[in-house]
Amino acid sequence: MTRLVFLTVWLAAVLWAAPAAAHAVLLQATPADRTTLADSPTAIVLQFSEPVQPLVLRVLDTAGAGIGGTVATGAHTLTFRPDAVLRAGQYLVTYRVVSDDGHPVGGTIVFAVGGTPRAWVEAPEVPEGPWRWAAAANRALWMLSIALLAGATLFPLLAPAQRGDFKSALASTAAGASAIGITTAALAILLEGGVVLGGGSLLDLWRAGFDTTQARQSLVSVLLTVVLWRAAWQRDAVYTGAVLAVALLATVALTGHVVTAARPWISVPLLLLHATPALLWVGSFVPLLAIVQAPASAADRVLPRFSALAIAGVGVLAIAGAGVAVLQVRELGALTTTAYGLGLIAKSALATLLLLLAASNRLVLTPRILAGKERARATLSGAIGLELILGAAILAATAVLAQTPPPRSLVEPAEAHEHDGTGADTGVAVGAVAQGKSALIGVSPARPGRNTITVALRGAGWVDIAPLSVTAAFSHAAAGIETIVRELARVAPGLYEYTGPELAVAGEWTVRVEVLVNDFERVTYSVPIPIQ
Amino acid sequence: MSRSPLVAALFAAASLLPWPAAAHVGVEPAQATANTTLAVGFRIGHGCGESPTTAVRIRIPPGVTAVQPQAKAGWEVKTISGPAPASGVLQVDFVGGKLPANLFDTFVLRMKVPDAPNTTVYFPVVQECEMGVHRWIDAIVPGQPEPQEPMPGLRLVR
Repeated sequence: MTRLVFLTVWLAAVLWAAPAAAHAVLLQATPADRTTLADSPTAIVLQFSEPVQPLVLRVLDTAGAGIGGTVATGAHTLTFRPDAVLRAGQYLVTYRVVSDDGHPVGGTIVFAVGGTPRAWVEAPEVPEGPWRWAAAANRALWMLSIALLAGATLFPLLAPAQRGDFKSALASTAAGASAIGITTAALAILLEGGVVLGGGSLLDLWRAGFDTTQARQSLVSVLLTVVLWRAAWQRDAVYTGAVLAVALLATVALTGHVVTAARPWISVPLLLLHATPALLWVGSFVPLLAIVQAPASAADRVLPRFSALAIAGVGVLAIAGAGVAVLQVRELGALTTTAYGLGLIAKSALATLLLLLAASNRLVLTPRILAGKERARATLSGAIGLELILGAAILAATAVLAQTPPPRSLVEPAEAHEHDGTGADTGVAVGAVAQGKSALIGVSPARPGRNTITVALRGAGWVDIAPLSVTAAFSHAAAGIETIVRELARVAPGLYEYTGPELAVAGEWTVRVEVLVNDFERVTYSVPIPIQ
Repeated sequence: MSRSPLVAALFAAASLLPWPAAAHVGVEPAQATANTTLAVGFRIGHGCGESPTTAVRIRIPPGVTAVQPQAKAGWEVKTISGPAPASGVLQVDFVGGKLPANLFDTFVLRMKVPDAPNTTVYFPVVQECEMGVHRWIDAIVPGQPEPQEPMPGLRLVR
């Protein structure tokens, strides 16, 4: 009986103790995980849900060297005070603590010093809100203005004899387009800063904007616009003006998704082959209107020439445009499942409409005008006006696309150009099989610093399965770096990806990928990834 | 009671050992006689960090039959059965309650365990909280380190 009472009391005591024995949890870290600070922090504070004793608390730089400092233990907190100021760069705070239940808990947080304070964007997110729309509207206006300026400059070359007439008819268009082009180019830097920062003082926005490729495009285009205006419209240097006009159109390739693609040597020429004729086409509508409405017989000579050129130009721009689209979209399925794909479909629909209109103008109206039917002129004027509106709408769609991440950037490491030019095809890929399901786990470029981890679940066992989530846990035992857990984003069916700076130290990392197949089933792969 | 100091010392030592499933989902009792009907409690010992538990979902493994959940005040109990009339209960959900993170509670099912002595039947459990979720669904593989979120198991004996 005594024994029974004793047993009961003991059991109750143990059961009573059990719930309290939950592990400690990191509640808050200062600086927070994945943030950038302007200046060196004086202290790094980890706050836990329960009293903890530190086993390990180290701060590492990206070379893997430990930062000297002192560790203080508070009731629920650990505080690390670095001996010296942390220089600009990236740091890992790795900790392993033991809570009252004797269970060790470890983890790693990442932060950076130097730069505009912000939280890091995890996945390539679509910048939302008014900045994005303002930037898109501004970009559309800018494209329209350089198209009109280049069109007004180049079109008279079709009929050199009537150049004087064109010049007087188009001077105001060219002047207006130049002014709007310069204004919108300057404004683009500011708005791009807004897209990056999401708000802030005017000075901050300018600064942030100047760090982007938009600044390069804006500065070059403003310079070209000013020189073009003086050469072609003030000094009558026709051929200099023509070269400058083509160069101005080419500035569209100085920023945007194409520049950040993995193979710019193919995507940039393709874009130029698409954008230059396209912009020239849009820019030719105003001179066309002028010529159709002019009573002179210039139309008889210019219209057939323009038509011949337009057919060739449209062919080139359509083929090159399809090429750009393939590079950016990659998968047919992504056309309907991503915002970029839907935007592309909308743009293609508008372009098809424009093509049909142009074809009717050429096949029906142009022969009538050449045959001297005056009523056809008025009809053609209206049709060209409609073409101009459609062209502007296509430019607007293009500008919105420029603010939308293409599926390509969600599939491949977009920042290949930021590295040392060795391309995106470097890296490590490891195959693994667990519970009859195979996975391909890749890390690119597999060098210390920013890396992209890609998990492809496309082999045996994954047919018709859409996992609920995929997470990766990075750890580096030799360097004493505790596990860092990150969730991967789904970028295509069966393809998951995360880009971040966690693999900051060279050596052999262990990457544990957990795939949640459904609420009750999880597949875990653990692979070694060498970072060199 | 000459052995009682020894027994007491053993119990004391056992108390000091880390409670095997302290931070996991515990099964009470930890073992059962094969081919019998009994009540099995699933003990939830903590929330998700500081967040209270709001749902406990228990998968019934093959071989376990005649499942009947015990009513639980403050919780709504739902059973999910298979498509065939004979397939029985596949899953039991306790939802709509709120178990603070620092308290424990036991969710009880009555069941008939299979006639397979010297094996362990595992019950995948999903513990949902206001913020976060624990999935006690990792298989325990002998000879390998215990996974982070192991499935609770009931050892069957003869």
